[in-house]
Amino acid sequence: MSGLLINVDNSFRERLWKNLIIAIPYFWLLLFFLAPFLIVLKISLADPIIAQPPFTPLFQDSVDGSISIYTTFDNYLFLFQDSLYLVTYLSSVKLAFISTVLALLIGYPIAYGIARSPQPTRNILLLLVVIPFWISFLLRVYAWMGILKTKGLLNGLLLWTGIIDQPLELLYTDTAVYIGMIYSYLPFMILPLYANLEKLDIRLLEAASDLGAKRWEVFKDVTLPLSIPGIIAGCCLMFIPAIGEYVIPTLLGGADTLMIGRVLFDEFFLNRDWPVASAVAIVLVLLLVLPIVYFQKRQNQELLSES
Amino acid sequence: MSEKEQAFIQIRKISKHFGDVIAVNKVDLDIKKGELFSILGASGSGKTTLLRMMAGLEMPTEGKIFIDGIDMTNVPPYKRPVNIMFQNYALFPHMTVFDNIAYGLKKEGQTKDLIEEKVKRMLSLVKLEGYDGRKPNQLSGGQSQRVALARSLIKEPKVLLLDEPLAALDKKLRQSTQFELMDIQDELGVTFVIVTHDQEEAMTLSDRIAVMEEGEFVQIGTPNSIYEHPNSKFVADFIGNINMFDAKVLGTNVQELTLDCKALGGEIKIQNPDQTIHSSEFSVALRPEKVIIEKQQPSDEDHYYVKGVVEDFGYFGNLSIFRVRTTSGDIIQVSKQNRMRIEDSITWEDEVYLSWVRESLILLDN
Amino acid sequence: MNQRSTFIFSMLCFGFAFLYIPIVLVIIYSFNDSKLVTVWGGWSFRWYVELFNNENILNAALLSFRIAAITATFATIFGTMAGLILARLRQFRGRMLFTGMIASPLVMPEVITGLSLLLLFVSLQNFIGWPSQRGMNTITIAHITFSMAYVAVIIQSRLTEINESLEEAAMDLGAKPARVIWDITLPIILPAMISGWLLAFTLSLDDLVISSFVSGPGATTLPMLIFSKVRLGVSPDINALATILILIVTVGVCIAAWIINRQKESKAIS
Repeated sequence: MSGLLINVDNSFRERLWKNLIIAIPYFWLLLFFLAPFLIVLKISLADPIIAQPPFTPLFQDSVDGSISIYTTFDNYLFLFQDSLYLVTYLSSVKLAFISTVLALLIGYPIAYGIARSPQPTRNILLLLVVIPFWISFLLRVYAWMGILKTKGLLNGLLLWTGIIDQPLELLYTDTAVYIGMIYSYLPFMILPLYANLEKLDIRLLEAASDLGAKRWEVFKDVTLPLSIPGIIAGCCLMFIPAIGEYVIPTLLGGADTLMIGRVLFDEFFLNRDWPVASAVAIVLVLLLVLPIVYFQKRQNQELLSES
Repeated sequence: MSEKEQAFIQIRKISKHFGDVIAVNKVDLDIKKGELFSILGASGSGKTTLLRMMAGLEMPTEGKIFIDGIDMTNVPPYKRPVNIMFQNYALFPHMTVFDNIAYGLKKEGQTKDLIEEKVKRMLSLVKLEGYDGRKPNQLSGGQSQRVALARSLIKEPKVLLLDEPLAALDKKLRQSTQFELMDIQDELGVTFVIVTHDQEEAMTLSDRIAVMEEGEFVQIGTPNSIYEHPNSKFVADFIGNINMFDAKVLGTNVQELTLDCKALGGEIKIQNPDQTIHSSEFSVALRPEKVIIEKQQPSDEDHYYVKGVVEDFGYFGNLSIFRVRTTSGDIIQVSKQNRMRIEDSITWEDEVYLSWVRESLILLDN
Repeated sequence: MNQRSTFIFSMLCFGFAFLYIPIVLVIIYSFNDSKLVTVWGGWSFRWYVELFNNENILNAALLSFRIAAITATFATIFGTMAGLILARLRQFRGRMLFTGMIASPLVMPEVITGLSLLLLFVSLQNFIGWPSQRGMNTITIAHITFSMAYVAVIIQSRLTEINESLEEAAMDLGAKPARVIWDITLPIILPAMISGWLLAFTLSLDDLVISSFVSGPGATTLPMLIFSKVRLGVSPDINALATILILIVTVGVCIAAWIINRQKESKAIS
């Protein structure tokens, strides 16, 4: 076997170092990433009680002194019976999906334009995309509040120019959420797209042209297929977290903007119903498992093909 | 070399499996001390894997490696008296030329003054005096290679392994570097083991060559013996250009073999090899430079000849290569040195006579 | 090239306008003397003054920076280890699980990570009495957990770019694997480690949801404070705060870009 960290060496110290490097991050993640999920699962199978902590323990002492396990699927039944949750899940997926598609449609030409720009314009444009990426998410969503509210800047402008004569209800609607989602996640969409488009070999486009392809055909037959890894990366990086998004629907959305992240948060903090919140979380994770696994597979493929 | 002298590098039944793939298959090899030895093979032949096992960068699946009498099979690379020069040179980009070369000595714990002295000496050996302060990204391909060489040699290893040393250089540079490598090896007396796919490189540099294919050695010998006495069709075809034709045994006696070879004009006689003949079907091979091409019929009775028509030819300045279609319908390739500056040259569709001496024919098993 | 150019060009203009107009508006209105968005009261630094007199905000900012610095440092250490393992170790027991755990935080919704970590801390408190009080310590642990995943991905992709032959050459020249990492690997991935540190710092500084879940009384981070203020509506001192942060980020990114450019130029001498 080869590889830097695997090498036949009988020295105890060497092996100790190697095992330490593996063990530290591994156990940290096991404790602080994996174990929490198991605990969420356990709590989702409990009853809420008025106590600290507000749920029934897993192991209980029963009358004859032995320990029994108490679980209940009440919380899950509650979820599936109350149509509100189903509607919320679907609404979250719908919102996330549409936002992702729109962000893709906006972000792809931008990424393409940057990739095709000559230096030093390209560096400057990249810089301009990267700066919002580093600015606080929260602040960028907040910025839209001042613009979209009824007595806000957009309405002010439209009224002043006479395009409308009644202010539009923009803030606290689904529309505001779409705008907020696209705005916040746009850098996450552009950067993977750019990374992929930048590597595109211009000679491939020239060859297609030479063989008789018109400009839109060159795009359809060569550029687009080759940019698919970038498209998938950008979409996964946006769609998956967007489903569970909390900040944007809370600040920009209305009371009827149903998103599962908000529901989970409210269930937890306002209703103090930890078991139900846990059940909501578990169902959400199950919903996302397939896309997450898919995303990880593609990540690995990309890394392997690069090495 | 006397029989009693033990080989410096002994490779015994070495194999390397990568899952189901057998990269190296139970090979045996003896390399003498101070030899310049080449392992020649196409990509995928297993030669690089074998080299890496000698360096300690791969562990053999089975078998043993002995260097200077000591079993090195399981010794990690940083404990072996072996150094390797990588195909891509692998110069440390964040260190200067000086630090790159000095690295191995620093790991040995040598003193600063001694290191400085040795590095300076090595720099002049590879003709890079004054380059110590440069960084690898400021060097040309040829200069990078010399730094890589200096870095490997400065530890005075018992064996230096070189992975495709000339592959990245352009043609002119390759030729001069070839001779430089041989000079350095001569001066230092280190055993060199080179791995390459370029037969020219192997032929020029080596004392001996091992031809490798699909994880096994096909023939081991001096450049001359491999070129003039290939032991198989594969080796004959692999090295240089060759004409090969089918032949049937007609009869044998103590001195010679009589064969019927249509392409070479019918009945031919070859010196009887010392093995018993098992089959009646053989190949007969003839190197292009061993064939004489002329417009007049050869008068010499010692030469065999056939008639043919020049179908194609290429002029290379110092030599010309002809493709001649003989009366039997086969193509024989001939390479001719253009000895005369002004001559009645042979051109397309000329009728020519091709002749050769009997000793030029090589008999090969089918 | 021309037809496509106009479409692309206009998309670029629209895109960057879309990205920057809100930011620019926030900056402009941070200097607006009037509280209302629709009324321009004249240029003034009044909100900045209010900002600096606001002890709550200053304390929250300090807390957030402290957490971010600690998080970034540990996330870089753990993330580099993880990246090294993923890029250089061919196989080991539980590699698939490890890969899965490392990649998940990048896409996992924050409400889930936050919820699960809070429940972990509560359960731990039940079983072993620690953490008795949630606050800076639990926030830091949570931040390290998800940041290290980002650092690991950065380091892993950088390492797969670098040819392994550099490390093999070092071993061949006599360096043991531990020394190879110290002498060769780490210096080469140092720029990646620095960007990892900065990314972890930013992620921690900006985090709202996870902090909200795992925090405790007395530990209010800057995002938590900002959020509670803006839930009620637009607040001009937040504009001032935003402007300051935008300025810091812009300057930082430009400096980083300039440094990277300088390095590229020095490499071009050959």
